[in-house]
Amino acid sequence: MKQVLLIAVILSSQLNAQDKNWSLGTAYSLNKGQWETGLFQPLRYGLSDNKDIAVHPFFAVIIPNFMIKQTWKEINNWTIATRHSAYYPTPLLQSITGTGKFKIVSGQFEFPNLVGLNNEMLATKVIGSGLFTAKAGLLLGLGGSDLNPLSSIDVPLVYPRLSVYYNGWGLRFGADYARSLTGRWSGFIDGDLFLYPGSSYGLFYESKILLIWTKNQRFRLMLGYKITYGEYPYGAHWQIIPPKLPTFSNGWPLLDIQISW
Amino acid sequence: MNYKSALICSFFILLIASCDPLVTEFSSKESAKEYTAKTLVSPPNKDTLTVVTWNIRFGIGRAKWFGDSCGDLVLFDDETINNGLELLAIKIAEIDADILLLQEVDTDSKRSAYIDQVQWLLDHTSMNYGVYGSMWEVQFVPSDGLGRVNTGNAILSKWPLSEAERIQLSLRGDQDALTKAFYVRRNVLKAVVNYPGNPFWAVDIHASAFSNDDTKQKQFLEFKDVLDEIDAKGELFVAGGDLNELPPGAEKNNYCDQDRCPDELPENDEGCDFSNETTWISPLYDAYMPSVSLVDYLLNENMYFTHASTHDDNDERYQWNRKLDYLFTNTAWVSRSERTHQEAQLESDHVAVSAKWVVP
Repeated sequence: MKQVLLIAVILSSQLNAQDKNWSLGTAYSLNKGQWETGLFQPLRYGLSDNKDIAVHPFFAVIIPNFMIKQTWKEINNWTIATRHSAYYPTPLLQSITGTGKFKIVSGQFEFPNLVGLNNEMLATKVIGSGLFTAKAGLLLGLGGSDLNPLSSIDVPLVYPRLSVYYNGWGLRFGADYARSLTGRWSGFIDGDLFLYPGSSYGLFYESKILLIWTKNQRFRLMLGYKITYGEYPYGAHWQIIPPKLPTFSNGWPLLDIQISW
Repeated sequence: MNYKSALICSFFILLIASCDPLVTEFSSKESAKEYTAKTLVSPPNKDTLTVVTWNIRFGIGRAKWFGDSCGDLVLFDDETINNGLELLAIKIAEIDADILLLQEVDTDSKRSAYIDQVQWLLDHTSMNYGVYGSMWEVQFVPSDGLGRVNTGNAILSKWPLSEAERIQLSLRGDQDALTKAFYVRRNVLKAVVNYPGNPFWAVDIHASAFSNDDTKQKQFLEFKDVLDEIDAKGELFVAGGDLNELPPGAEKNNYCDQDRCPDELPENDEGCDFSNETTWISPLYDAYMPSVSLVDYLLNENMYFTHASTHDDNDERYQWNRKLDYLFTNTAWVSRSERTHQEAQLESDHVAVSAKWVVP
């Protein structure tokens, strides 16, 4: 169950979409007083028309987290924003450490207090009939200087996000593009690059592709895949997510819903 | 191609291609992975070969691993694994092995620092060629912090190997579906050793260790089927491995009190009570030539023990206390050539068993 929670936490930062209304991954902020959330989405609230805050309420106990986004101004049709987030993953990591089923980290290891700080700049522009967003960020991982390298969780999505605590800092660059396809259907594609200078395993790339069905301004459904590449302790590895699970047939996509009110 | 078509196309390609499995499920027969040493060594010009079977416990020697020795260690760093492999390589050289039938060889496991142990052993011994059949290939084992695992059987040889095949054995029938999905998939690995002028087969098995049902009996019969097929064609084999079974007639056949960890209950005992299995490997003894006859074995059982159940050298159970590892052929072993290398105390929780075999 805890492994599912960990994956859900990761996915929750992944399946974001890109409409003026569904603006988690863009430089746009929610309107003042607007709420938005989803199956794998944080709960967001518009503090003002150019500032919103977000928290993952279901995971707040095991991974306290907070995010704030400020939309600044428009320059040459690019909307600029900064986004800052803080995470305290220690309770989650401690809960998945030990012996027995669903313990992901060996009980040989202990996790100290770790704090993750992400600071990003986002720039969004309407291109054609779609929305393009470019991102660059500085990742800081505090408290991990004594972490044993063997305690790492060597799987796609997770390893790149925990590497910051082992390396101390990292960089993240990304770009998204979303546009309508036909009727209620739209598409979304993105790419994200994680770099950890100085680490033996310092390069990770993730790209996802989503088909989005929008019922109205309050509800939409997304399904798709993510492809990842990374340099892990066991070597370079490509992975399509979701992977094929034992006893299940191929082809199950990621699924998410978003609601707004 | 416009954006819409490209996106829909990509989506369906990913849908079809999203087959990278979390757990590798093997087909009943498939090709084994082949290896070659970084530097080839000229094979010796001799017709009496030393054949060895050895469960090498993925290079951790007698470390107190959580999975089989009441230990609390799960993962080991590369220094520990390299030291363990060095010990194994030294012993392999001392035995002067020509054909190695190995079990519990890791090729890509977090627990053994992701060292490919087949390649390592080829590069650090006089063996030239290897084949590998995985028994457990999982991207991520969600239990005990094990993480990524790829471990299995390997055959190493001074002469080229060909026709290498991994043959799936029956899966355990006494596990829940989730555990079974992520659990070990035992196999028989076979390959032709291309000894000049007289090719023969090498066959390697590692049978189930902890099953409480009839899984092992099925696996022994499947192993025998492989040997029978070779024999029926008039071809020769040397075979062996870790059968996780006692010889027929063994005096003691219940080790549960010895194997149980302090925090375990008798109702959770697994793979320690052999009392209902006393005849399960008799068909192998009946059909083929063991490196130690049952008569010799029963005359002095202690001398042939190959396994110990704990790794604390202050504990009396540290000493070898049962025979689980065997060699068979469909010709004959050199008389009295069998050696159970009990002097190798630190290399593994199993003893290497060797015997000499003359190429006809």
